[in-house]
Amino acid sequence: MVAREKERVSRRSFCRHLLAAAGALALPARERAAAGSEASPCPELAPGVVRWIVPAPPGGGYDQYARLIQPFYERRLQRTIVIENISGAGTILGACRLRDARPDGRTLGLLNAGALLMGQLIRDSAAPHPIDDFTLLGRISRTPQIWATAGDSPLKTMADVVAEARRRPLVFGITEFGANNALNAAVGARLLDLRHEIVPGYQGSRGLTLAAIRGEVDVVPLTLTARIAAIEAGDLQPLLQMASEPITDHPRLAPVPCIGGAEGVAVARARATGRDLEQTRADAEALALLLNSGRLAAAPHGLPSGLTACLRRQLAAALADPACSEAATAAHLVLEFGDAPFVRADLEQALAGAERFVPWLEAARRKVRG
Amino acid sequence: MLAEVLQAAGEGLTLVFGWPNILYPVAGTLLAMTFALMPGISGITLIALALPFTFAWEPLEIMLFFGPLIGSGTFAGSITAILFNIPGSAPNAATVIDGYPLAQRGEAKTALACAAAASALGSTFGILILILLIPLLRATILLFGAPEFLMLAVWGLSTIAVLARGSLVKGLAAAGIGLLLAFVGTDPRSAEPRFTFGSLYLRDGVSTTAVFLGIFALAEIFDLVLTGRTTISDRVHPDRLTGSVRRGLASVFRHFGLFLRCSVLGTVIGMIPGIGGTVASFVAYGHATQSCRDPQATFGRGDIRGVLAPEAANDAKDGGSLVPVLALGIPGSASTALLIAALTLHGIVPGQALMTEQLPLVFVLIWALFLSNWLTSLAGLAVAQPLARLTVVPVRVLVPLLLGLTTAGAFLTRGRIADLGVAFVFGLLGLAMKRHGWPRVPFLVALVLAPLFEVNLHLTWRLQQLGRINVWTRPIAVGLLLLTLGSLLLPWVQAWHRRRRGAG
Repeated sequence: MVAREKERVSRRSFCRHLLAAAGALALPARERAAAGSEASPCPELAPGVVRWIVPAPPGGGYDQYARLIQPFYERRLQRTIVIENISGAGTILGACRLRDARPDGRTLGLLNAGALLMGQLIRDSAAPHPIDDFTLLGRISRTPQIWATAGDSPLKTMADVVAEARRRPLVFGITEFGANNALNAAVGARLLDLRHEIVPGYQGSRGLTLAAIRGEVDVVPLTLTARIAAIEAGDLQPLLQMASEPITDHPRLAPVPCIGGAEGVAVARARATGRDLEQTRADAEALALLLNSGRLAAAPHGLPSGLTACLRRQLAAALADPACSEAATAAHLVLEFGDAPFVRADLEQALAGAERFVPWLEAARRKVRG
Repeated sequence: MLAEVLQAAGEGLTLVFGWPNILYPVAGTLLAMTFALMPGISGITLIALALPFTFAWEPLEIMLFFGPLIGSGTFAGSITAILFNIPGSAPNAATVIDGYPLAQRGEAKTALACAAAASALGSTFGILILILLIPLLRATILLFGAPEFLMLAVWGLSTIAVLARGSLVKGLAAAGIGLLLAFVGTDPRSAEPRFTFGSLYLRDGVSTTAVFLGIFALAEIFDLVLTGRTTISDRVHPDRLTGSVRRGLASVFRHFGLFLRCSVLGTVIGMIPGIGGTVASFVAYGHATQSCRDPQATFGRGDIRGVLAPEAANDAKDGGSLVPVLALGIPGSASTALLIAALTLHGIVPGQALMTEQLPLVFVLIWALFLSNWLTSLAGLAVAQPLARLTVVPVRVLVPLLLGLTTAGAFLTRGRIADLGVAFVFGLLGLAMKRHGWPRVPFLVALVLAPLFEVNLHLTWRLQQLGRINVWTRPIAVGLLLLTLGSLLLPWVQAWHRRRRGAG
């Protein structure tokens, strides 16, 4: 047993925690606002509490990232940040609330770029546009996706996957056709020219993980960070990185190939099946870009330029804080800051390239509906 | 392995009950109980609120404090359910069905004592099963897949036939409305909006908590005002209340078989990620009505077994919901999802590694949960007497308070103003159903179980079609199907048997 856990909690520690928690719960919002109304390095930022909209329920990946960054960004802005979880409609509801807020810097939030891009692809009129409806502050993290199978599956490599798909259609589990994992499975399998069937209806990445472990499906498309623990425990075996270059230097992913890039699996398969190499490579790049579009920090559209620049600078500084990186490492979260102009360019490129995927996705959906 | 588990259990026990460690679970329990008395603020909200203040805490402190937040609010939510027809949270909605009629009969004390005992013993049962399963956690969780969940939903839905007893057509029609309402939202496969009329609000479906608060609490408040009842129990002096704590406690032992069956149901349903306490309590309630067909049964009109069954299942679920967390690091409920988030932020990754490397820490969580459940129930028993007196408070004093509690609960659950409108509409619907003798329970059972049924029907069908599973070779699924058929056919067989004997 870890020695530290064996120790008893000191009385002082308990009292300190109790007072802090009671104080925090009891302190009226106005007083908390006053406490955070010192001179901010962003002079255009009005005094008072900053609302940080998280478009997902407490406890999920978005919430964890928001709560990780909160104290460091608070310190940088000299403002109290209050996290507000506005979940619903696959993160669209929270995004709408952020879009409709006043662009004064007092309402910021996280966006699920992948969901908003998917919204554009499936022509969801309710989904805000990730570029036109917001002022981007930067990327907090990417959302690298993979293909995985059960730890004890006979499919150990992509060569096994390709060979098996020649014998029978591979079965992919997904959550639903509006989610990124649907795009990952439907477009990925099509790019690699694999015979496949899709089973939608699993509940989140936990449902997909269980489906793979139970052997109900062959392959599950997952966000790497959500299931890294299952990979480390050997419950899941990664097969393919949905990226153009290796996502991470994690030892379990070292032998796992990427779908994109000049030496990627998509190009290799196109070569083997005689398809257009350049087009396949461009498609794989677009898919990787879209799936990796990540978690974005944003404000409503129309934020004054001076304030925008300051908020971006402070966000970059907060994420560069060694204590923040340390906390992220301890929490198994990967921070990967991206400057807003580059992020915007990535999103535009992903949207343009992914237009080709729309009929593929629709065909997959029609097939399942029968 | 067993010796290791026992040693870790002992270490965990010492850590929880040591001084001043024990102050953490006690503080957590008091906090959870206080918040649970306010409808709409569940343990989940509390954990989310507490999360930012625990960054500097040690993992031991997290386990000691968060364990109570997972489970102790469950019983506290049934207090308002019994006394005022206001479920403290969605899983307490099934307790309302018989708990409130008992309070109206002046037996609130009996109902509260029964709920407290069933909760404490149910949670103990769930925790015991969890401990026994520790060497087999992984294998257990993998036994349940889409066909098992489908058959569980079918079994639960089959109880509608019993719940609609007395007015079968109205009951089935009410269940049909519940099913239709459950289809509002997003198609679980295609993600296309269904019956949302272009509204973003309806994409996630109608808030079940708002529906529960409307159909039970608001409907009752409207009824109290319209009927001119003086007090909830129709008595003006506490001495006229007939309930007794002893009778409530004894009821759990008098119906011990039912208690055990419902605890098993709660534990098993708790293990299934994403299903939760609401399904557990409604399935248990349905099972109680189906299995207790004696002439004394007065379900819906104040049968103590209607309190016992959902309370036992609802609290046993807490132990079960830790199974997927500990086996695979997968949350079994919203509150365990937050627990995982809190632990992950401290560098502890729940799953097999935690089980092998820090088993005593796991037991700290288990014992803290155990302690908090007992503390809550004991506190409930201690205050049952004064709480029961609230049923003799004049309605004109209570109504504004109840109205405030209900509307706050409807709003606070998701923080959406539109939920208030939903609660109000279903309040009127509930009142109309009550006045015209339409049973409300089949409507709610259908609403709660339909999503579970729909998604697992699609999954089972597709997996069977692709040859990935064979439903007929899965013993649990087939067992549940036989159980459903048996419970549906039993009354017919009994009637046929009686007729034959009569003819003979």
